[in-house]
Amino acid sequence: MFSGLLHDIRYGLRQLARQPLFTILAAVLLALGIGANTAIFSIVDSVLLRPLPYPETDRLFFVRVRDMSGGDPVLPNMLEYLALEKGIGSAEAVGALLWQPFNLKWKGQSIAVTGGFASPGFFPALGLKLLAGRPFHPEEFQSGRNQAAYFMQRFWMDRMGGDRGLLGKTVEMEKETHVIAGILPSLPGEIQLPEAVVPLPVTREMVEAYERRSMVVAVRLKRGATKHQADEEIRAIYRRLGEETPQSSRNREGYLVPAAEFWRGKAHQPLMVLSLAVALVLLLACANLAGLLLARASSRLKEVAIRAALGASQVQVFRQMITESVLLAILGGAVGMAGAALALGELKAWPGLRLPRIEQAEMNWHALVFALGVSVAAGILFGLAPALSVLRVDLAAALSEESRGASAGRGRRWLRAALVGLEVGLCTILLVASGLLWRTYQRLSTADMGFRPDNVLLLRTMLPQVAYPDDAAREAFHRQALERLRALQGVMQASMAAYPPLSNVNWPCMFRIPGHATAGELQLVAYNTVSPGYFSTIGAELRAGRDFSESDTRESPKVLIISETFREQFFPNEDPLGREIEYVLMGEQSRGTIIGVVRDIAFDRPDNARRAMIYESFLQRPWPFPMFAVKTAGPPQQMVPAVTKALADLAPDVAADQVSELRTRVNRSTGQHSAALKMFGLFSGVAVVLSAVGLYGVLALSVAQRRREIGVRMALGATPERIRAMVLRYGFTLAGIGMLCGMAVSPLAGWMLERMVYGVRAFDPAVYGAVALLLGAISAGAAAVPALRAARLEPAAALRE
Amino acid sequence: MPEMSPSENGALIRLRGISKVFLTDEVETHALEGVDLEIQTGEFVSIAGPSGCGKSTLLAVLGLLEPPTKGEYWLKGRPVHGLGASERARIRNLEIGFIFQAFNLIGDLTVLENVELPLVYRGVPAAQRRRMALEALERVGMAARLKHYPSQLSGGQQQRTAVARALAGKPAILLADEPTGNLDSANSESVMDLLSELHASGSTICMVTHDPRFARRAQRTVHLFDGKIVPAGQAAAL
Repeated sequence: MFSGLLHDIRYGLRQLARQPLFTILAAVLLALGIGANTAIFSIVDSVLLRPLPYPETDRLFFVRVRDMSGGDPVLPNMLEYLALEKGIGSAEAVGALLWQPFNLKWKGQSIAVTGGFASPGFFPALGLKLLAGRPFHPEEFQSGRNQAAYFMQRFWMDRMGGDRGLLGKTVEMEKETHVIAGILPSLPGEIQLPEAVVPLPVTREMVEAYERRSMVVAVRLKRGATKHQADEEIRAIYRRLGEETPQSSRNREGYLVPAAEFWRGKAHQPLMVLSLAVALVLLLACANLAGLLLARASSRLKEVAIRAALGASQVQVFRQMITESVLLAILGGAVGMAGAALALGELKAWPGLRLPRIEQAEMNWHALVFALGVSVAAGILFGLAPALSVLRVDLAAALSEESRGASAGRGRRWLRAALVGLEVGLCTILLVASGLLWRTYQRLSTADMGFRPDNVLLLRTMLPQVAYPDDAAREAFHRQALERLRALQGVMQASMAAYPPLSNVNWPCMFRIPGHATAGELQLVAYNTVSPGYFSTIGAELRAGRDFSESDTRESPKVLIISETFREQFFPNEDPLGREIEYVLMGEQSRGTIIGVVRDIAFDRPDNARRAMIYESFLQRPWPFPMFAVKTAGPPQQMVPAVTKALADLAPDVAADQVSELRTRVNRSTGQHSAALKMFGLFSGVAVVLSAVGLYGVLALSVAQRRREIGVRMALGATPERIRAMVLRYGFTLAGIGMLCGMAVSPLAGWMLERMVYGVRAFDPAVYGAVALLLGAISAGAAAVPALRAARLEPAAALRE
Repeated sequence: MPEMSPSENGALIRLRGISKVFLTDEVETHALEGVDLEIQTGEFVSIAGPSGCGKSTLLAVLGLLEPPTKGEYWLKGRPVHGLGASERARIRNLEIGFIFQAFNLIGDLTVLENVELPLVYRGVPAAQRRRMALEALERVGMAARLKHYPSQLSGGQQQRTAVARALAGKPAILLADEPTGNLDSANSESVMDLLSELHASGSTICMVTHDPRFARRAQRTVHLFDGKIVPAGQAAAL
C-alpha cells in the first residue's frame, strides 16, 4: 500500500514535470486561491481564534447593558457598577475600569496619556499579574490616598525609557504627585487597557462626578458557577436599580458577555465576509482546474486503459489520479504560502482594515497547517471529477487503433460545461458583492454630510482636574484658548464642541415640548454642546434663526438650536423659533428656548445625517474635554505647530490630544468600505479572469472536439456566420445559465455584506444590470477566438479527420 | 467565333482545368490536376480509382467544400469557383446533398432533427421543414424511427437517415463519398438499391467508390489516377 503510494507520488511528479506549462499554470491558479485563503486565515487566527492573554477566560465576562427603549448595548454606569460589585454572588471577582485621559508631566513636558481608574477587583477579575512592582494597597482606594500609579509595559518602555529603577519614584500626573507602583504587562494584541492606571476611590464626590459615566465592568465567575446564574442575578440587580434610581437605570438591563466576544467586538463581521470571498475565489480556481484536468484526462484515456489492461484496479487508477491532483495542489499551496506572506504584510498595513490584534497576524505553523489542509482538500476537490471520469472509460474503444484519445464523452462534456457554469456563477456573486459595495461607497463619498470638512483641524485638550477643578476655571481656559487660536495668522475661525461630526457618540437627552401634542411623554433625542461659531467653522448652514452668541451665558436664559430633522419631526407645520423645550441631561432638568435650526450633520456615517438633535451653547454648559475645531486658510497640517504652541503657551501643563483633520475623519469613516471595495474588486478581477479562461477553455476544447460535426454542418450548408453564432450561442448559454444561478444566490452576497452595504437595495437593478453587461462582454471576449476558429474551419479537412 | 459558355450545353456541372494543390509543411501535394468533367442533369456518375488518387478531393470540390486552386467550375450554368465561403455554403445548402462514408449524423440530434438540419440552415419554416423531412424519411424507410438517436440505429439505418438528410432539401445533385464503405454487404446492397431508386426517380448522383460492383450501378464511371481523369481502358491498365 505504502510502496504503491510512493510509486504514485513518483509517477505523479514525473507527470507534472513532463508538462511544465500546465503545471505552472495550475500552480499559479491554486496559489491565488490558497494564498488568499491562507492570508485571511492568518488574520482570522490572530483576531478571532487565538485565546485572550488571561487565565481561564471561560470564567471571564464583561457586563453590557441593553436599553429597553432601543439603541445599541452600552456599558454600565458607576451606580450600576457599585450595585453589581456587591450583588453578583456567583462571581469570584468584580472590577471596573473608568477611562479617563490624564496629563502626565514627564521630563518637563506634558504628555497626554490614555488613563483610567481601576477598582480593587479589576485586576483580580482579569487575572492580570503585574510585571513588576507591588499590588494596590486597600487604603489606596480611599479619597486623597490614590497616589499609586501603574504604567503599561509598552508605554513604560517607549515613553519612560524602561528603567525599573523608577519604581517607587514619584511622577506628576493630573497636577498631583503619584508613586510609580508597578508595570502592567502589555498584553499581546490590541486588548485595550489604559497606558496609566490609578486606583478608583469610591467616594461620594467621585460617585457624584462620575455616576453616569460608562465603565468597563469585568466579572470572573466562581468555579462551577454558570453564566445563566450570574445573568439572573444581574437582572435582579437592574430591576432593583430601576426602582431605586429610575433617573439613571430605568428600562435598562445588564447581561454578561464572554470576554473574547467583548474584546473582539464586531471584528468577526468583515473577517467572515473576507473569508467567504476568498473561499469563493478558491472554489473558482478549483472549478477552473477541474475543467483543465478533465480536458487533460481525455488525452490520458489510452494510458488509463493500458494500466487497467495490465491489471490495475479502479481504486489504484483513482488513487493515481487523485495523488497527482494533490501533488499539484501542494505545489500551488507552497507558492500560495509565499504569496500569502507578501499579501499579509499588505493587509496589515491596509488602513481600512482596523481589527484588534491584526498586527500580530503572521505566517506561523497554524497558517502552515491550514495551507496544507486547504491544499489537500482542494486537490481532492478538483481531482475528483477527472478521476471519476476516466474510471468510466470503455477499455476496448480506448485501446483500439482508431482511438484518437480526444473524443469526449457526453457526460464529460456536460461536466465541463457545469464547471464553467459554476465558475461564472461564483464570479457573478463576487461581482454583485463588489457592485453593492461600490454603490455604497459611491453613496458615502457623495453624501451630503451637512458640513464642509476641508481645512478644518480638530484637537482636544484634557484639563487636569486639580488645576481646573470647576466649570469657571475650565471656561476661562477655553475662552482664552479660543482667543489665542483666532489670533493666529492662517486661522479663519476657531470654536468648540463636545464632539465633532462623525464621532458616533450618542449622548442621549430626554425632552418634552410643553403645549405640544407629544407633551405628556419624554422623547429621546441626540445631544451636543457647541460654542458660538462652531457651525460656521465646520460649514454647517443655519436654516433659520441665529447661532449661539457670546451673550448666551450661564446667567442668561438657556437657548437651544435644533436640527432640521428635529424640526420636521416635531414642528412639521409650525415655526419652532421661540418655542420652549424641557429636557433632562445627565439627571439635570433644564428648560430652553429654540433660537435656531441648523442643517442635519452626519453623525456616524457620511450618509447618515438625519437625526433629531438638540444643541446647547457651550457657554451655558461647558464640557470637560471638548474638541477644538479650527478653520484654516491653508492645509490644516501646516497649522498644527502654531496651534499646539498657542495652547502650550497658554497652559504648559495641558497637552493637545487627538490632533487630526476633519477630512481625515470623513475618509476614515469610509475607509472600511474603501478597503472592502478594493479587496472585492481584486477578488472579482481574479474571478473574472478565471471565468473567462474557463469559458475559453471549454469552448476551445468543444470546437476542437466537434471539428467533424462542424464540418458536417458546413457540408449541409451552415455558413461561417452560422457556425460562429453557434459557438457564441453555446458560450453565452453556459455563461448565461451560470450568471442566472449566480444571481439567484446573490442575496448571499447581500447577507455577507449586511453590515457593509446600506442605502442600496440587495436587488439593486443598476448593479445587476452592470454585472450582466460585464459578464456578457467577457463571455463574448472569451468565446470570440473559438468561434472565429470554428468559422474558419475547412469543412473538407474536418471531414477527412 | 466567341467561346461557348459552359452552361450553354445544358450540363448541370462542368469543370474545366480544375486543379487542387495542398500545402503541408512546405510540401506541395497536387491532389487534382487539370480535371475536366461534365455531369448532366439526371445522370448517375461514379468516380473510381485507387486510394489517394484524388476521388474525395474531387468530390469535395464538386460539393463546394474546397475551392479549386485553379480552373473553372460551373454549377447550373453559374460560375462558382470564385465564390466566398458564405456564398458557397448557401449554394451547397440549396443545390447539393451529401452522403458520407461515416454517415456523419450528429449524435446529439434525433433522426428527425438530423434530417431537418439543412432545412434549418435554409430558413425553412418549422412546419414545412418537418413535412419535407418526414417525406424524405418515408422515401428511405426510416419514418418509424424519428425520435431515435444515431447511436440507437444500425449502420444501414444510419446511412438511410444520412440519405434522407441529403434528399430532404431537394438538391440538384447528391454527392456520395463511399456510401457503403462502413456497411456490411447486405446493408451495402440495400443502400445502393436506394440510390438506384433515387436515380430512377430523377435524381442526379455522383458517387465515389472503389468497389467496382457498385461503380457498375452508375451510368458512367469516371476513372481518376494521380489526380487526373484517365480513359477507362487506360485506367484498367494502370
